Amino acid sequence: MSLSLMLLLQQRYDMSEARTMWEALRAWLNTEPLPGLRFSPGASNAIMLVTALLFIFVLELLITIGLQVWERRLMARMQGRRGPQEYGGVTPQRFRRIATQVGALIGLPAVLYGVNYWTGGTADAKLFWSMAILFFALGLAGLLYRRLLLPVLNANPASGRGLLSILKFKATLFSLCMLPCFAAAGGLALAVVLGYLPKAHIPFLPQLTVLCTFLAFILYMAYMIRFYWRQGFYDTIKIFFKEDTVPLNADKLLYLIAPILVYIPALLSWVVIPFGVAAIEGQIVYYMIQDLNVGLLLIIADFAMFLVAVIMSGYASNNKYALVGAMREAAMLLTYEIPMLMSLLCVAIFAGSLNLTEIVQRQSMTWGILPLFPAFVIYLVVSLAETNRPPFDLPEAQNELLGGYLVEYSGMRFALFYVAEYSNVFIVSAIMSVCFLGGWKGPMFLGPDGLWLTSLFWFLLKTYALCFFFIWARSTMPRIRVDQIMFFSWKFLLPASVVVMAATAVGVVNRHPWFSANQLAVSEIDVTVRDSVTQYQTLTTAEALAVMSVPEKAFFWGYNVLCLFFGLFILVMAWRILFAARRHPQPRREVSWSG
Amino acid sequence: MTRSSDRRVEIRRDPLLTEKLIYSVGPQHPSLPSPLELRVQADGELIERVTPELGYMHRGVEQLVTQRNYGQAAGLISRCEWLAGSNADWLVADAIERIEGITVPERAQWLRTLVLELSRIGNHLFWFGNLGLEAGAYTPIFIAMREREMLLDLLEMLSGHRHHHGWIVPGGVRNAPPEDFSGHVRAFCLWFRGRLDEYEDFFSDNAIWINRSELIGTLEADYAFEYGATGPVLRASGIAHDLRRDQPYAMYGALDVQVPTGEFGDVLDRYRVRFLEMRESLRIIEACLGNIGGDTPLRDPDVNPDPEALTVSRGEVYTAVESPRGELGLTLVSDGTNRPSRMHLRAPSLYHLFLLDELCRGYLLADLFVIYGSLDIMIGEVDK
Repeated sequence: MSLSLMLLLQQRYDMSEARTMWEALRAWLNTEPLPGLRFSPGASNAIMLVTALLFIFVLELLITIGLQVWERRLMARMQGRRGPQEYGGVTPQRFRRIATQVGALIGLPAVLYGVNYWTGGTADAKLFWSMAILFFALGLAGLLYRRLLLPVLNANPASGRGLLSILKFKATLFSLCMLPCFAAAGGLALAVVLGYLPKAHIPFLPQLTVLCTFLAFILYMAYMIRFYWRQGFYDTIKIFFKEDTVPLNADKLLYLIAPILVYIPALLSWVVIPFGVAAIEGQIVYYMIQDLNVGLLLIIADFAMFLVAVIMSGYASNNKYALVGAMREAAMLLTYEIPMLMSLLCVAIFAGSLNLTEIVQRQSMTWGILPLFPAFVIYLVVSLAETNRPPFDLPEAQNELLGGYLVEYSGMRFALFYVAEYSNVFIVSAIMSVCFLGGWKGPMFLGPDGLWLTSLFWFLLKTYALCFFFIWARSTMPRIRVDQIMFFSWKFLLPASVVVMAATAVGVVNRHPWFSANQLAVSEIDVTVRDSVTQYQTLTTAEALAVMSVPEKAFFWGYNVLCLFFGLFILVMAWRILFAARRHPQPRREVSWSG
Repeated sequence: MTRSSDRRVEIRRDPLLTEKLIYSVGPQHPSLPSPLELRVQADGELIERVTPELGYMHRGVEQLVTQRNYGQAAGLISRCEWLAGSNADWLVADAIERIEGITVPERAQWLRTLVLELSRIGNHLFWFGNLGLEAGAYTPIFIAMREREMLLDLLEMLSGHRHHHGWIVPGGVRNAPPEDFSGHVRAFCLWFRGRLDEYEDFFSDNAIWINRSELIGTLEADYAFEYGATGPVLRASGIAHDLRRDQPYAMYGALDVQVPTGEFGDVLDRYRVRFLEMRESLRIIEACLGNIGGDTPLRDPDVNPDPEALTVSRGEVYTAVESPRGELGLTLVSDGTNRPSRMHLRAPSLYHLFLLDELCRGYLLADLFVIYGSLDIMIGEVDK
């Protein structure tokens, strides 16, 4: 894929007029939302606060439950067994049916876009419009028939005769209506590559897209709740009715507030995560509550607070296992905070900002993972330890410490710890996708009108891919011992992160374009302030190479060749681990045979 | 291998006044599948002393069998070692056969050998899954149980029971195997070879596992000998002692049994030895399969088939079997009635359990569970 196409796929949007959902809500409340309805500043503030809290709370709960259920199902799949709700509930037929319906509803507008692109927008728009109505009506009719009418017919024993039998025969006909829907799903892939910009104006096409997507979403959610998340919801409801116990001689105050202190930072972090971006009436609106300039710092602080609350709970429980868990947590906190900060500092140098939306917008040309791959690997490892996930789940070690700091908690307080843990998994994955994988950036195949959907799609895709890594690690690795974890961090991760940070700084100084996200600093003399003012110039890598001096070029090629070898090494190792591991009849150590 | 080169953390004297922590691990603890209490005295996480507290599962089997006939006695003794119950059946049958001087038909001997080796694989599979859990890996228990399920199906097909088969009886075996039995066993062997490779891919070369097990809980050969360790624990320490080879019983004399031994006697060596034993068991099973055909009788006609009416003449005998955990011995004293007058079981797990203090001293709390798992201790044997 050529560079120009890459650039085209990563469309950039003007960010001077951008604002967050929170600010958009404030602006809307300050106008007259309904005729004659005006809010005082206090009232609008209260409304906004409640809205934001509800938004965060509901979103966190849903994502947490979803992640936990997904983990249980996925681990079951990896371990070759069946997970919860997999005994007879989901048949292949049922899954195929829902996949057909969802695929049809999403693929329909995609096909229209694709055809429109191929004809170059010269064909009659009325043709497309009538095609759209036809496809949509057929799909909807088939859907309604299957969901509403067919169960009634099947339940009626007399339906084998007369008029009803004709209707039953029609089932085949309606099934045939579903066939174009399969084609439509295939068209989606085509549209991703080719149809990201419609060339002719088709009336109501955006509205149709929205409607189809909404219907598909409803269908999908119904399926998920019925066959996937139900157990998670039951568990959540059940745990809220359990008795809340306090152990004898516990430090009661600390014991009771520790779960709340664990939960609050997990909530706070959701404020600054940019989920996506939408273009509403020519204005960019970010999906987030508050676009803080120190967003990255806030998230780091939240994690530190989480760990302190965990130590507090372990100390207050009056239990030896909990105490040991808390001490392990304290050791890990001291050990892993520094490499984590170092690797995030690389991102700050790379993007020149601690603002998360700014970090994402900087990655239009170069994703952070390209120059900062070692920092990404370090953060990936450290994030496992930060969230107490296996193989670094020492503080809660089920088999050794019976849950460690969790051992005395029950009911809702226990649930708060768990919600916080899974919420942290999502937050850490989101931070990684924001800092290293370009956040919501990706081919915007639905154009500016569909930006709200495509940005969300890319962000969630990247984040859940990283969540998958967390689950994968859990089902693969044994637990590391507490002294090994510290040796690993102090002797390897810490020096490595320092070297990586130094390399990043050297790269920026040497004007390696990737290290500054292809935005090179240009010093100019500003006559009004009589001083040199640093300005930033966006250059592609080729353009930047043309203006670089010889030593800078030498650094560029030297560093890149080094990275190439490193990448090749990683690839070879991955190949050997994944595919060539079958060949090890020889034990690692000599075992003598006698007899 | 000298004692100074292992990874024991040196216990230092702390000038500050600190208290020792005493953890009471068990009798309900996820890492101890059977009820046992370990009193662990530790300096923080550094173990200074481990004291096993027994008696949570004491049933008085040695007394109970004196009140029951020989068939019931075999059933009770196999309840002491439920993961490979056929070993106990074999012990009782062999003791009676020795006292009475009965010769068992050769085909029955081959079948007994086959069942003993199948039980060994089943036990080692359970051990592998459990060891994975103790090391903090969640997957081995599931993939090991998948294969163990197939193996239990095979044994159920043969005897009608999954755990306590009662299939090896005095004078032979209880019934002939079904017609397609050897075909199923052969298919299992083929399948299980590939699965063993899969386990090794998945777990044996994992860097974390190597770090958790290498030079952890080292047991020198002389210590192992003095403490009376047998089986894989002794072999991992470098002593090639295997009753199947050194004191052949059943048809092992006709088979060339290879004995794997380790070098350092650490957790990794015990792990490796058990994995190699599983491969060796597969080889033995395949050798047995060629000899179990035909329709010669499977039971000595002189032995009374009714266990209630089976009387054994006066005598005393010690017999031992190489169970998956080590030398499982039985002393049986009979007084001419249909009940044993005295019985004693030499349980290898008992000897290995008292190694625990020696092995864990100076290691961290997390190592205790891995070492415990590597010894493969069954409390049913210890608390008889």
